[in-house]
Amino acid sequence: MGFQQVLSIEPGSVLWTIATFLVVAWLIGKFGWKPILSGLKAREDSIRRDLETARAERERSSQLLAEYEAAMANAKKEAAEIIQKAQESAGRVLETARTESKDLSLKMIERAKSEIERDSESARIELKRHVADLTVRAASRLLQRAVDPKEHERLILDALKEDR
Amino acid sequence: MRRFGIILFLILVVGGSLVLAEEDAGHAAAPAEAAGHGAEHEEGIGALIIESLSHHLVDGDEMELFGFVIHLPTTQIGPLRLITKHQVWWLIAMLLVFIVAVAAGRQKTTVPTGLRNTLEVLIVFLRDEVLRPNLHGRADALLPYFLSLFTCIFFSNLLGLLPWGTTSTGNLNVTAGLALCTLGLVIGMGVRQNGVLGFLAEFTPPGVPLWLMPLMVVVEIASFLIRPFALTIRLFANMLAGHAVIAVVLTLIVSPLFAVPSVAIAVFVTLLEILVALIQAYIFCILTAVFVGLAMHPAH
Repeated sequence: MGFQQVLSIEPGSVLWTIATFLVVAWLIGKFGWKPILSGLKAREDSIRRDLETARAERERSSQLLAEYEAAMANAKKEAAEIIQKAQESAGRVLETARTESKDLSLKMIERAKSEIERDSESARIELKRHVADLTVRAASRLLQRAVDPKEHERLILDALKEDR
Repeated sequence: MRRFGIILFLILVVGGSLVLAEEDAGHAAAPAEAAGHGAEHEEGIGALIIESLSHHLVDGDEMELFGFVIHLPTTQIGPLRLITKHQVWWLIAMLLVFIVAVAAGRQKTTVPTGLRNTLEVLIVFLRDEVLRPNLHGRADALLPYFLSLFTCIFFSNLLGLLPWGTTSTGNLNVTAGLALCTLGLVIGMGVRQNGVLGFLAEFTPPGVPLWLMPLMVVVEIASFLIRPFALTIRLFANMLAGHAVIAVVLTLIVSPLFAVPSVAIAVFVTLLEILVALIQAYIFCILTAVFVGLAMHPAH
């Protein structure tokens, strides 16, 4: 068994190697690599898709956020305006109410005054009449005679008038 | 690792000088007898090394497995001898690859584990680092071929490290067959990409003076044909050399002084062989990819 045999080329061996390798490589490719590669590709695709979806969603959410922030700022501004307006109108209403109530109270006081005056006038007249009546009654009792009360009343009123 | 190397080197130097000193002393004391004895001893070791190397590295019709000798059916078609020891080991390597690949391919999960995961690391590496930079658009289509090429060479390289195992890639015929497959792929892809004329035009580099053209064509053809030749020899020589070194180092066990260092070196070289097995499979693949890439996209 010569060691030089290591370097000898056997065409049959070479051809056999080529044939077996090509056949087995094809078989391995068909039954081994193909499912692995398709699985790998599916995973890569799904990862790529997920990443793209995530990016799109992130963009959309940031856009939404911007929109919401703008809407929020708008709403705040509007609320501030509304409050401002309400305060102004409340002030106006208050002012009107104040002047109206002032006027009303003044009128009421005025009316009360005139009523008091009228009442006191009528009371005075009533009092006068009552006094005259009393006086007549007293005088008739004094005189012990029936006097025409009307006549007396007149006399007394005259006297009172003179007295005044 | 470095310290280990230094210690190994010291043991070797000291052991070697001791052996030499002993032999010198023997020569001085009884020259005739010692010379005869020494010659016989050396011849014994030499014969043992040759025997071991031949047994391990030379192709044949007998396979030794677990101590049993299996006589292979000699298939001789005309002058072509088909089934030999190395061919059987080459088939075993490919069969193992087939089993591994199919087992990994049967895993039906989106999150791969174990074997499938390991293979996917290899697949992605080959695809992204080796094929895509060289083959561009054709990378994915050729990926299965390159995967088979890589794994078959790698498994074959590793099988030689097993007890009774033989490295079929340490056989010139096997590596020549693989290199011829590469040559076929180079021509096929070149013709497919550029047409027959376009492919042939690659042998006439542009910008060369007309009078120099015949020489350049010869040079280009030579360089084209040398590539598979270099592939053949590179893989063959690396595998042969690694196993030859292990065999030689282990044969040195017969000298008591060398026993310990020779086993240590054999272990070290064996570990190195695992690395070499991976590297040579990678080199064969990347060079095939580069050659195919050159044929498809001529380097101007």
